[in-house]
Amino acid sequence: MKTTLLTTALSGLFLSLGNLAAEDGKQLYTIACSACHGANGEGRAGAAPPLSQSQWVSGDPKIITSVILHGLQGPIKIHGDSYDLVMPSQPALNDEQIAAIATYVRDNWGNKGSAIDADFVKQTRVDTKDQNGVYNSPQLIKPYNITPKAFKLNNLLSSSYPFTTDFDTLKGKTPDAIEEEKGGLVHPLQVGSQKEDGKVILERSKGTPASVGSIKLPKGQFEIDIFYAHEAKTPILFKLFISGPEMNLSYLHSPPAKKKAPKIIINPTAERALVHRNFFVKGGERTLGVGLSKKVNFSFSTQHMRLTELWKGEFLNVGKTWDGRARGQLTQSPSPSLAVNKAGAVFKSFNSSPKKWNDKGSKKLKQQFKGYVFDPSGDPIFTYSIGDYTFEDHFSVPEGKQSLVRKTTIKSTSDSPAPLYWKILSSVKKKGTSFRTNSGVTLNLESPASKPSLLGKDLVLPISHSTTITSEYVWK
Amino acid sequence: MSGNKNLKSLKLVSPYLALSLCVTAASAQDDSNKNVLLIPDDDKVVLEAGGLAILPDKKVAVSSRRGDIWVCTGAYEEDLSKVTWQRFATGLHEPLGIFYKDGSIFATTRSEIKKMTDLDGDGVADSYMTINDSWGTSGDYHEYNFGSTPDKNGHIWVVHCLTGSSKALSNSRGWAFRYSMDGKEAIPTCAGIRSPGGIGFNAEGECFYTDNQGLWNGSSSLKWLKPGNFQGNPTGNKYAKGLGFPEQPQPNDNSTTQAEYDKDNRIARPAVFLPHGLVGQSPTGIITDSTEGKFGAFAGQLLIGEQTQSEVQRVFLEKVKGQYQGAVWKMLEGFESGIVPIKMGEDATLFAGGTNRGWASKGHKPFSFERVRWTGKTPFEMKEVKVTNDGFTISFTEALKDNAAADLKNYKMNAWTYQYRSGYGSKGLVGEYKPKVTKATIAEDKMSVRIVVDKLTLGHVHHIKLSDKITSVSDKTVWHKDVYYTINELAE
Repeated sequence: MKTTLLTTALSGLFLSLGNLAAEDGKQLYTIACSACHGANGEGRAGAAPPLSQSQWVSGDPKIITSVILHGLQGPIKIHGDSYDLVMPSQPALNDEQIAAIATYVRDNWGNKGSAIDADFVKQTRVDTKDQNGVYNSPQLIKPYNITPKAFKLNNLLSSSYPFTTDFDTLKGKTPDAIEEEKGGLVHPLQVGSQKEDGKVILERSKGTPASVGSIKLPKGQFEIDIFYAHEAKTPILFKLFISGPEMNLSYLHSPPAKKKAPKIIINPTAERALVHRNFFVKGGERTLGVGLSKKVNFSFSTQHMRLTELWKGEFLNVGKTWDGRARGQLTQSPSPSLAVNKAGAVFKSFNSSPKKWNDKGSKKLKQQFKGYVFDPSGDPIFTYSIGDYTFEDHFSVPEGKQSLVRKTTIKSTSDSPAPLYWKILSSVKKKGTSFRTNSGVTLNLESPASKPSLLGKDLVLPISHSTTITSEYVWK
Repeated sequence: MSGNKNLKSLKLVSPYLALSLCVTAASAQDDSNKNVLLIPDDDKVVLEAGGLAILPDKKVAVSSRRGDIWVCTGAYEEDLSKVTWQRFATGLHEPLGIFYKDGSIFATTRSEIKKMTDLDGDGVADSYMTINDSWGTSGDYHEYNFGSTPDKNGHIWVVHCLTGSSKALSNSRGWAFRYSMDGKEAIPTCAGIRSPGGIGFNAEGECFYTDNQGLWNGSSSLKWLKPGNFQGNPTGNKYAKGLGFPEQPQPNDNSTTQAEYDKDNRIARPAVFLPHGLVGQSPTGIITDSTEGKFGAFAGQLLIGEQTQSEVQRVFLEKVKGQYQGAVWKMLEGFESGIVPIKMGEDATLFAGGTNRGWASKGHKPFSFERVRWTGKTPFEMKEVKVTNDGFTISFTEALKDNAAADLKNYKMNAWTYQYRSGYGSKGLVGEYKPKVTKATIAEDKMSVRIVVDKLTLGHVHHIKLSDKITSVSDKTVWHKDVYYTINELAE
């Protein structure tokens, strides 16, 4: 059994800088350095070490100047972490620019180093002209006596998290996608592992979650103690994940609170309906949300050719899917929607007339969504094929009412088409000449060629040749 | 010394001029930048570029990650105040790859390839037809699909990213497919895809894609989609049987691609490693410089986007013993956002689209649309690096001034490869050593130098750094002194 434990730190993105003297340096730093060293010198896993509270930065001014001029490679230790990366030289920067950057960096993020001027850089250029290529770290560590400061554990905190490695009880938990390297909002920290006195010690180091060492644990209940030191001013949050056989990477505990996603409401224009393709909570991965005029909206699965839900008001809030890498990957109606059909197929073919929608003997039908066009008044017409039929589904809002009218033109593509059954509504009761779902949707149906029947609580319409069906969905 | 001055002086190092066609509302308020233009009608428009298409009548289409396609008129003009924008389509699910064909715009999106047509001539699509939606999609945000322009057979090549970049929770994840434009064909082509950033063709019409550092990718690289090849990440292998493919290779963990290739030749070695951290972090769009010299001295070579570093880089490819391999250089830098799509427009105008939502970039604007033109001044640069049986031939864009290129001291080399492992990226370099240049012979025409190297290693990146003592007849030093050549095979 293989268990992987990860911690991820979320750190705030902005520190107050409050030093305007090095304004140029800040801009230059942002352009030339921040992609790797971070906007605030926090470093980036796998790319560059932090610059905050670093002897490399705030020690002898020749150190930082030499590193910018020639680059640096080889093992170094900063804040208890080891790095072995290559920083290239920065030939695009002139002496004034290097001085501005170095002065800025030496006076920020907990560094307290003197300012550097262009003459000093110029002199360093002369003094180091024999340096052939990138510095190897010992070349600077020895002469400048760069000894890593002991990492002070002055803010030691601890938390305990109970968890289980009984994977049978964890299966089916919603997986959370692995966060990748390369910044973004989350900077994951790597966890390595070693054993000491029979206990598992997790050792924090920079890196990415997928490259962690793994700890094997037997089935059972465990408690993890986490001790961590935190020196930066920004808040730190831990996320714990677990993965195991046949189980995706999952949170061990509730994920930490995140910044709220922005509210981004989209609506159709006066001229045209808005058809928006996305993953929908109720419709599935292949769903079209459709916003019609008069704030009448519905969602339609292009996998099952199924009208799934109806709602009135604002069309969609897409803030979640348009924020970051997409947080909350599914879209849903901003106000409660009424179910028209439950998940699953709404078109089936049966060997004989079915008594129930879930009767055995149904045959799998070939279904293909073909696309949509907008008519001159801006309403959408969907086209799709099911078995031996093609469908043209025209959606509109009638004059003087706030309901959904659907005109479905069905054509058979074969001389002897196999009969189809269409489940138009789920959870339904007959009410006069209409049908009403327990969710509160009333359907007025005009089907000249065949009559619907209630199979249990499902309203099912048989189709055996070309016809046109008009359905009006009315709800409060 | 003002910050703005510094900005400009950094940019003007390049013999290429970049011009920003669209920036955010906040920047547009800066009157000092006369080239900045806004998308009209709505300052809320967010043009997070996912795809670019060159249209007739000097128009350019930009697809946004939010699902719109915008058509830009006037993008080639000197007077950018006349640029206008028209929203052609909306409601698409993250289009990453668009092209124009016979009056329609095609888009490869999250769940389908779509064909959009303006039926009434008002500049807005009225018809949105599904060309193909036969692949799986699980609802995960990371199941990106990057689509190509059509190849010579009319096929659109699509690379289907893994779920969350690490799993294959829906059918065809981790596979490259070819789809016909009539929707009838879906041809599984290669397994082994991880997390692509772009797809495109070289001058011979062979398809390549960029795959990002991560699981089973020690470094980001450019890979050749040779039909039937296995591209390295075995996560999607479970779909092989259902797709009518033979069982796919299961590489050993903690190995190298060369070692695994030696055991099973179906395992593709990257055509060109794009050394992580040295060249870039997130390679993206791929195009061939098809301008026959109108974009400078590198006709026929590949240009590739780099999202994190906000750059466009250059790749020279050659086919040696049936394998593509070659060299990468840095080229254009200082773009305003993270470059994803690039396209070569008319008049050798390079268009680059940017976005950094979710993935930080050196260019700090949230999105960008920029054009780059060659100023006509040829940089002194390594033009091509070709492998020989015992070293390399380096050709230049301009004749060498003196014999500095014959001096062995003016070359520095190191060589390495990466771990090929199930974990995320390579932990350090593998097999690193410092090859020595033992002989350097300048060609009679002084346009190239042939170097002999004491040790070359298959599957290794060979980094050559030229000294600034190597100069051209017009006294220029080499623009980019570092080149990274991946050797898969040695020449005869």
